[in-house]
Amino acid sequence: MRETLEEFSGRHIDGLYHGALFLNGGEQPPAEDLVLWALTGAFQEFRQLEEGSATERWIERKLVEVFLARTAPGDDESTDGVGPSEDGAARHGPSSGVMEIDPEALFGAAAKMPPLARAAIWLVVFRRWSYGEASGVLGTDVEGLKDLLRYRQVLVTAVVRRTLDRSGTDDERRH
Amino acid sequence: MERMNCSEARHALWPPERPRLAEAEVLEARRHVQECEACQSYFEQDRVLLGAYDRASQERAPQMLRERVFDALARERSRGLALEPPRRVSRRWAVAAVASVVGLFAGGFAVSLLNGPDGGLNDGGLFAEDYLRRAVSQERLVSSDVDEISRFLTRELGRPIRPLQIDGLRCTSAEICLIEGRRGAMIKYVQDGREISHYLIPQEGTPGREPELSSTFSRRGNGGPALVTWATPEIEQALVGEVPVARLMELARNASL
Repeated sequence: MRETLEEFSGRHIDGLYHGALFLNGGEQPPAEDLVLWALTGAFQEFRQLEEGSATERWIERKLVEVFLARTAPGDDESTDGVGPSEDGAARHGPSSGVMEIDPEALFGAAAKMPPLARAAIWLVVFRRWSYGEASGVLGTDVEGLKDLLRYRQVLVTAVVRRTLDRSGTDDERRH
Repeated sequence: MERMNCSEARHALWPPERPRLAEAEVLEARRHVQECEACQSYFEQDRVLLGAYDRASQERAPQMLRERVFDALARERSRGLALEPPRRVSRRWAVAAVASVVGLFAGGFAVSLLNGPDGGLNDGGLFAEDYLRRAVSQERLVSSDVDEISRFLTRELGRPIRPLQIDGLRCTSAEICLIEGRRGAMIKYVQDGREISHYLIPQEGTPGREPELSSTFSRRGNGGPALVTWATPEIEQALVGEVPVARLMELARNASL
């Protein structure tokens, strides 16, 4: 028997909620609203989905679409003067097995990025969408997506810096 | 052939854990990464970022959000109800719904059902709400398979819910109920040919409470069902059925262990 949207929602609500938290920079009330809008807005379309469709990808796309639709156009600019970094080895990047990123800082750091970059990073880095699929959802081409993904370095830098602030640098720990 | 740059290599290998055919582009991208410290760092950062996200995402979505979502979906469905044949509400359903509300009342919910001068049984809102929940969806599972019912309820309610497993008590079905805006489980059992309903209504902050017979409801008038309410941490519970009170209390005590 085909799954109902209620059953589907029950299975995916945790993942959607955390996605919504990331997209909203860790703010819970708008994250909850986003999940609610995405799922209820999907009601009619869900009935029309063919059995065997990639429903998880479908609802993730819905989440991002609703998020972007509710983002004011002026919001899509970097905040706090933070901009994308060049590709390459990260100055603040983790050295293998030595530095672990503070998970709590992750959602908060997302707030430093423009909404479109958050959406790109959530789809590609955290939900493992291909570049082609993600760029289609975001209404850009692959090169445009790559530009957005450069904000990933901002994320790494911000969360690692926060971790360092909490736990001290290697030098400080040695002393 | 022109050498592949970092951006092209990362694109060709994304996502890195996905198996892919060893085509020329993939081989070239892998060769690039092996020789490129920046790309190695990039993929290492990716692994750490993904791990951090996964760890940060282990908490469940808030119960209140689940309730808002399911209520909203029920409202969406109700718009199309006129197109679907309604399901009959049996007397047993009505009794069970009232019983569950009484159970919640005993647990501290501000339910005025039994406080009003008319006894509240004419308050159609509570019945309509629960009826709507049942009428509009497939939130019912007819099965005597305890594991299947447990999976169904756990998936629907977002927390582990397991039917009682007590000698002589056979589980027959499970449904999602909606009481005072809260989604819960109603599991039906049969014992010696008599039906017993077990309500479990998750509510954050509920402390444990010993089983007690509801004197307000049980054995009202001639015969009628008995009702026992209690709570385990975070879950209000009630058992209702036309069985001896002592048996119902015994089941409740076993259930609260």
